[in-house]
Amino acid sequence: MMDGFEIVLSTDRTMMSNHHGKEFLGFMATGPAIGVPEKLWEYIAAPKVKVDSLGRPREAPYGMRKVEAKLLEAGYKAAIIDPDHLHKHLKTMKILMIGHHDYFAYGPPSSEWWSITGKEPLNRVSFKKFMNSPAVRKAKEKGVKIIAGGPAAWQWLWELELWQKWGVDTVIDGEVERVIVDLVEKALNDEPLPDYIYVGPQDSPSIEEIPVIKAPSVNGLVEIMRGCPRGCKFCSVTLRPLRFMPLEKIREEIRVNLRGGIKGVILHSEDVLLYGADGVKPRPDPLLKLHEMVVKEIGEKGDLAWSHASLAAIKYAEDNYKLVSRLMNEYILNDHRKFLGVEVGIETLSVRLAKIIMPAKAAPYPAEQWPDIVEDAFKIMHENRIIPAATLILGLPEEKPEDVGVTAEMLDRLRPYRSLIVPMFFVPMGALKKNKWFIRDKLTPEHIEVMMKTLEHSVYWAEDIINKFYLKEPYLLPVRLGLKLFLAYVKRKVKKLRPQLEALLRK
Amino acid sequence: MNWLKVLEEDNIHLIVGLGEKGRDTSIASYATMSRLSAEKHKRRFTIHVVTMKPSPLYMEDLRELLQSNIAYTITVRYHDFDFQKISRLLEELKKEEKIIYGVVSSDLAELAKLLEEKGIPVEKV
Ligand code: SF4
Repeated sequence: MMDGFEIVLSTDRTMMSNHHGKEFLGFMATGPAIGVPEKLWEYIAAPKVKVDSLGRPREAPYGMRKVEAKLLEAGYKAAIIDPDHLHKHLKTMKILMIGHHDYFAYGPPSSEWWSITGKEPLNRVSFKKFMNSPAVRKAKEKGVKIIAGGPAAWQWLWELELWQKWGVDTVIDGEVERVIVDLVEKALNDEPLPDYIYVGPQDSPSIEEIPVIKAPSVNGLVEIMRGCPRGCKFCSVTLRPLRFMPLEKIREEIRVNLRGGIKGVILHSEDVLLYGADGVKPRPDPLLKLHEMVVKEIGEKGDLAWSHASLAAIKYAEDNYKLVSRLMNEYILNDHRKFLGVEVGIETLSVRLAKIIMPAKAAPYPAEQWPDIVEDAFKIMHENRIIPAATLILGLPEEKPEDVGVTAEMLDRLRPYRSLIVPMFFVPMGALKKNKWFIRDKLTPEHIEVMMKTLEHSVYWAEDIINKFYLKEPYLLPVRLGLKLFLAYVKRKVKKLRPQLEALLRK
Repeated sequence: MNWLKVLEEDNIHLIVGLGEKGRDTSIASYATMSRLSAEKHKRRFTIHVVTMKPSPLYMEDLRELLQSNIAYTITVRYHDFDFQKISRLLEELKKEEKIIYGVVSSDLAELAKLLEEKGIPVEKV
């Protein structure tokens, strides 16, 4: 047995879970329990993961795996430990590093659920439980340094009392590979640490500085590129250098996952179709090579998903090279892989608003064509058995009722295409902090119309997806039943709510 | 002080005195950072916060600055309101030939004076 770990990385259950191997179920952790008991909700969204005798999870969040790999390569005794097993390492632990996508539920869609229901989402409740747990409290009493990072690091700026109460030493935001070893070194030497660190674009790590993960990531997620060439205003990702991971590196990570018993791959990028692209124009060669390599590694029975893709890239790739159908037919679809899941952003179907909030989103097409691009991309996906989870953003400060009206009308054009459409309500932080139910105050009849349409659209297609594609494995029967229960509850509620809302719309 | 490698090397050190109008001081600090970045061709900053507010509660004043920044590397270090310690910090920074600049809330006149005595340019807010 090893001497023990001086650096322990951990997080709460909603992050330390494989969501039954179905990434999408993880989204349920962004809401409070609705229509089913809280325990069942938690079980569906975030079941416990398998661990070894030291409490090291079989699979763990990818970002934490990168930090772990960096520290291991630098010679530290570091490991990711499941939250239920932290107590086993109290004797040796000197630094506790925590990471999260949404520590306090201030990101979408958690903030929206919270704002609508007035109830704290599961991820927030679960993270607070983790930080208040006896193991974390004991670690702090012993003088363990706590360093918090990850994509939601900024949320600590809005929870200063908790930051103080829990004794977090440093919060670090941004890509950390170039700097984390030095920070840890200083923490171990008891040197004064900065309270807050933002790693700017010029300090982003090069490809060589980004390590290969040493143990499996949740559901086999591997990163294929960093950065984004779209150049939207106020976006930190686009300021960072565009880095395409070499196939060799991607293959190595897939092998780490497969060796660790993970049966598939989620290709992660802000836009998978821009891997090896010429600016915002997808190129066939790198994408075909990537998928050829991936399916060779995972075999016929390995699962495959894309994390995100842009609708403009889907249309461009198909219209110019038939690339989407080639990828799907030549590599992805088979008797086992009957569909491909991906997250896409619609955000709005109003050209006026699209031009203001996301002028580069339609590129290389003009922003004026945005609604047609969306519809064309949905059609391409439907025909190629790609099931998108699409987001819409409501309530942006620049939004006018006409924009929402246009979006509501346009949604009818998307009805024939298998997809889930999730409206996200823009919630300003100030409103959440005052615990105001902002959305209820701000809802207009147009918003209600859009929300009802997306709900009906998504419930309709969710049933179809569950019946035809999803959660077919016998061991997932309880999850399937739980979800069906939830869908039945939503349908009943929608039926009851419809006439009331229609009356409201007529007012 | 053992500065962080990369992030705190070749950067600008900003001494920010957060007093009653802490938020205004922090907003003024960001404007100063943008100006200094252009002048000195540097994109990394260490913000040394000097305030009577406890850590990390003083962050409320800095929140807007930190949230609106996507371009610069920033480290934030907290210092007790202890002029002897601050003097030592300033001496150290000067010895290391760091670029130092001060932005101080007007109610912290003593701090502004201390910086000026050390030859550090100070903006009072
Ligand atoms: S598409 Fe997304 S990631 Fe890319 S620049 Fe725009 S906001 Fe940033």
